[in-house]
Amino acid sequence: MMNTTTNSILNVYDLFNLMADNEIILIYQGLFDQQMIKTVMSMTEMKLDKENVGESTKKKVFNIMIEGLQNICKHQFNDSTIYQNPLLVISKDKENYNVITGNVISNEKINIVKNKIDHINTLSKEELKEFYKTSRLNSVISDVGGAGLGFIDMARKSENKLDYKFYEIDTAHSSFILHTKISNK
Amino acid sequence: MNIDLTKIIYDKMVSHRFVVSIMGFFDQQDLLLSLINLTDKKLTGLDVQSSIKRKIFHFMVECSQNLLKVDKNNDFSHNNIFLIGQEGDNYTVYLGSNVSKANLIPILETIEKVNTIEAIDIKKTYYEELAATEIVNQNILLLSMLSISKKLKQKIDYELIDINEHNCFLSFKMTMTN
Repeated sequence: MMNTTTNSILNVYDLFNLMADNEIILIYQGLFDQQMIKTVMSMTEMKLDKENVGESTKKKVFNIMIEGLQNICKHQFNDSTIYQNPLLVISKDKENYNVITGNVISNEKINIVKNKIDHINTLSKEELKEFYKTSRLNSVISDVGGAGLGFIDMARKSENKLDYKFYEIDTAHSSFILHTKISNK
Repeated sequence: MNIDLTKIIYDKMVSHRFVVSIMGFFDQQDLLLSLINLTDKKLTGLDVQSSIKRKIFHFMVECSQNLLKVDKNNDFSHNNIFLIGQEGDNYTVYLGSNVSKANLIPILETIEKVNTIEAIDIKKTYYEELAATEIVNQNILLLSMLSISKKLKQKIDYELIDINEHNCFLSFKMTMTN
């Protein structure tokens, strides 16, 4: 629980510092809807334009953001018992731009997601392309509106392995953090 | 940046029970509208009274316009922070930004001026200031600070943290009880 001592302006400044030290372009934590997606995309675009990022890198960052945000929109919990809103972080380091999403996931879905990403991470570029095609042809729209192509697309667009972790919140829920790197060539 | 660092940030936000938080480049017109819409949705879900919501939105609009306008040309100023935290029935709103020290004095003088006015006189001073001058000559910052103080019935709560010889972190804060 927050209290007035720990949540002083100084702590806000800690977050500000964390952001500056790690070259974080954007952090948004809250509920997502289409309007907010449009807004964070536009904020990111302005920042990338300011840094003269190449069109190809920019396009990849946007594509991956869209996939990540669509996943969040589909799966976000609006449940007052889970005090954890979805998170989006865009940052950069020497060689990469990083698109990081965080959201709550049911523990029972962890293995499905984990197996899917682990499998994608074993595939080469050509194999990914093929897997995308066959997955699209065989896809079934799930009850949350996805055909499961998002992770494949993120791996293809980023040309990097998808990094992820699950952190248990309680016996039924975990935080799922997905980190996608886009080389800044 | 690695996943564990993201987890640290996430944990900080969750432990502070931030209802909404955004940090980044705020300098665009539709961001405030989106933030207000989302904050509205979130606060409605938490059964926050409409009068409290209106005060939060008023604070967001006034503070952000001031913070963002004052330092438009400072490259370092593009990291801005907007947060709403919850503790029981209390909601605390923070809006912070990097401000160049060169632009700081008029802001601080205005805040101090408003904070020395007795609560009972705030409304009167606001309307006097509004009526006294032509629109083009109005002290927008003063009007804005008076407006916040009038609406919230609070002194302007702010904090200044030194970053380096040229910049500091200026943050406004307000707490409302639902």
